[in-house]
Amino acid sequence: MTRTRHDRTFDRSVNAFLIAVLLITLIPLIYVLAVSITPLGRTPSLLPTAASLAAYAELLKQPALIRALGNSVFLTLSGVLISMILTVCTAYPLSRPDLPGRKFLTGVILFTFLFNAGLIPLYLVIRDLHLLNTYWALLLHGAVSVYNLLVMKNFFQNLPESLEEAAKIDGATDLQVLWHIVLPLSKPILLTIGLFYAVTQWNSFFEPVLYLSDARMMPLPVVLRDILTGLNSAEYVESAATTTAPPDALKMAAVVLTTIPMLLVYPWIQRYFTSGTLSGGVKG
Amino acid sequence: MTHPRTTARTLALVTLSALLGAHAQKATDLSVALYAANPEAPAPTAGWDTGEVIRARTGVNLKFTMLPTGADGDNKLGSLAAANDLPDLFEIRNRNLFYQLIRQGQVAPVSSLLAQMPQRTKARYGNAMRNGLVNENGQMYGLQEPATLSRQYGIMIRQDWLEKLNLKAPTTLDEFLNVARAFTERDPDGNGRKDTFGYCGVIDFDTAGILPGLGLGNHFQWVYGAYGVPGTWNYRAGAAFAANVRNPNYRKATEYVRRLVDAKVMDPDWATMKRSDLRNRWQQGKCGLFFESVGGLIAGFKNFEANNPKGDLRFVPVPKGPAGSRSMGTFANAGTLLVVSKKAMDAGKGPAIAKFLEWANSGEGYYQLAFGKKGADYTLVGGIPTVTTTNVNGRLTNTQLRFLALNGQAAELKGRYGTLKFGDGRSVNVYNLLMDTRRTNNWIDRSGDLVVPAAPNQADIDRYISESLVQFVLGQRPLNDDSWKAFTDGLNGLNFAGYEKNAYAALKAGGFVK
Repeated sequence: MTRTRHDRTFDRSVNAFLIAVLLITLIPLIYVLAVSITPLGRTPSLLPTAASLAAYAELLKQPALIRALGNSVFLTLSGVLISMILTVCTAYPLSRPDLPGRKFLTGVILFTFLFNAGLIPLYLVIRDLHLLNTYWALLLHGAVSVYNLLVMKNFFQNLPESLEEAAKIDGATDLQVLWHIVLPLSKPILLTIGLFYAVTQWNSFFEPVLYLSDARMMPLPVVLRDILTGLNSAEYVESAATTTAPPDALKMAAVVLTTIPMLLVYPWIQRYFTSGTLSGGVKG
Repeated sequence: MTHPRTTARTLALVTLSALLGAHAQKATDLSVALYAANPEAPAPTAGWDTGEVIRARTGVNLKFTMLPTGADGDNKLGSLAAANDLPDLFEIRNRNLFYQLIRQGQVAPVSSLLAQMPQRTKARYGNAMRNGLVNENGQMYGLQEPATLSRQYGIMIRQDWLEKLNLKAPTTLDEFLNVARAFTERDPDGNGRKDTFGYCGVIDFDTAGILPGLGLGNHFQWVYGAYGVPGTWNYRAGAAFAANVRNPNYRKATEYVRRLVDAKVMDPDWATMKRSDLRNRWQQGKCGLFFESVGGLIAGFKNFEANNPKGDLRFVPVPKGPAGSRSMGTFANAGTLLVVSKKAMDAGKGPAIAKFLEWANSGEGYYQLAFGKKGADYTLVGGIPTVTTTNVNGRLTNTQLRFLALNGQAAELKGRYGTLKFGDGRSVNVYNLLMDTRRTNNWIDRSGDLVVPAAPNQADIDRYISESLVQFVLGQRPLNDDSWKAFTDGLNGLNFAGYEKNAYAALKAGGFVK
């Protein structure tokens, strides 16, 4: 197909627009990074003239932050594992047309998506199950997201039925079909939904505040907020007297430290992302 | 046959075990939820020094929960209350939530505890006016601590710039504007560039020890103070009680801020800047005059010194207005508010709570909570607690409950606010600065503000007044009779009169106005 001058102009405009959007998105991130490496006595700027890792060193010296980092990693890994097992085990049967009561079950699940009991009943349930001040409160509550479940169900529905039939003719059970046929073919959706769950757990803030009382169990966002609140406080005196980095550098370094794990994970699964969400998002 | 010595040992062990068992049985589990004094420090761990000392001295097995600040903490307390699961002893900062919990019967009257902690009651709960903040239907529902650190703010000036430009510290609003203009236009830092600002202030409603009132926040309260209208309410008007925003002097103060803006002596971004931005500015050496606390000075001192090795910061007394009025702003003599849940009181935990709080009031308990482990974290030098440890995190963890102990007395403040030393040997005594700003700034105690119920549309009222004033002072809206009338007329649409009426009723009932 011949590309006209009009097409090329349009492409260039789109590219210019996307580059502008990229810059708008990128500049705040670069600024955060730049402020985090600003040494004591220098003005924070987008392109710093001097750099210091004092803020990172200072933060990494704080046992609270390291412990919280460990808690968040644990919660994210175990949360993703639990959520994925439950989501797959619910989505797969619901994707099978021969499941009795399939529409009713889907409707019941969908109902919880549209209406929920609210904060206090949920708190009462967690309390009466004796999950308060345990990680189970964070891992089990919201372990299955209805949105993710429906996306995954739709993805499973779009897989060719003939593959499953062939496996069954060869004597495979339902579980074997799921494990050996469906899951290997569903890598994009598994990684995509896994990332959704991971980000949710990683960013979880209010639930830990509500359900946990032992401060040692708190994940990174809670501790990070405490540190930032402390830095903003007029009472921030004792620690500041010993700091070797400007308070703003400490804040931004904390933001960078929290973001790094997710930034590292994303490139590995980015190539599956589009196919995962697109295929799962198609109505079936 | 058993050897007599073995028998004696066995008997001794049994007796000891019985004693320890009896002691263990006496230990009372106490759940305490407070806003952490040092949120940036690690949380207490199982072998927490302070926790061990508390158990040994008071028989209280303390379970400490750090409440998150702001709405998250309120939501947490609200959820716990709804589940009848409130901690035994907890701190509350949102007074609307406090009154709500009283009405719901979730918190217990605390009068019965006072006799059980005589020293603490004498030191902290003897002020009838302050106790009025926690009384409801003749019952005392909270332990209202006095403020241990208030009025720590003031206007700081670059004394070295003042001397370089051969100027005197301003004492009136006109002199203030002149000095600010000189700091902006006469290159006080000598770098050949016009990159300094006369006055640095931001719109900031931080309430740490001060009550900013409606409008432009505490960085401009001194202007309203110079016109005799600091804070939200006019307490002295008697039956003609009204908000200060109704007073003609309020407009005059606003016009003065406009003059500062028009003279370009303020950072052009001041209306959108945050406190941290302002702190960056003065630490960089960009501000000749600015509003800051002694805590903020300590926090930013190293950075300031790195940028301004010869810099010299002082507090200036708050400037006078045309009629001689002067005030840096208003403050509340009310600190931590402690509440006991009804559940705890019904379970008979009152005596344990009283014993714990009494221990925290003075002597060993006070020092342990306020300053940490004696010998390891601090020593007493001439009666002043002096921090000695290099293990900052450990000490801050040990003092997470310090707001239960702090009393704001001279020795304590001298311990907390020591001396800052410049590289060239000069030093600044922060305690003296604190006393200076308290003494010279005519701070007005308006603790009564705390009993004023928030209007149902409080956020709308706050936003309307604040945004209108910003528009006036930035010149986005003309400041004349008509526009000012339009502004005050706009309050009618927000039922501002109803808010004033409720405020008057609450203040009158509490004895804060006649």
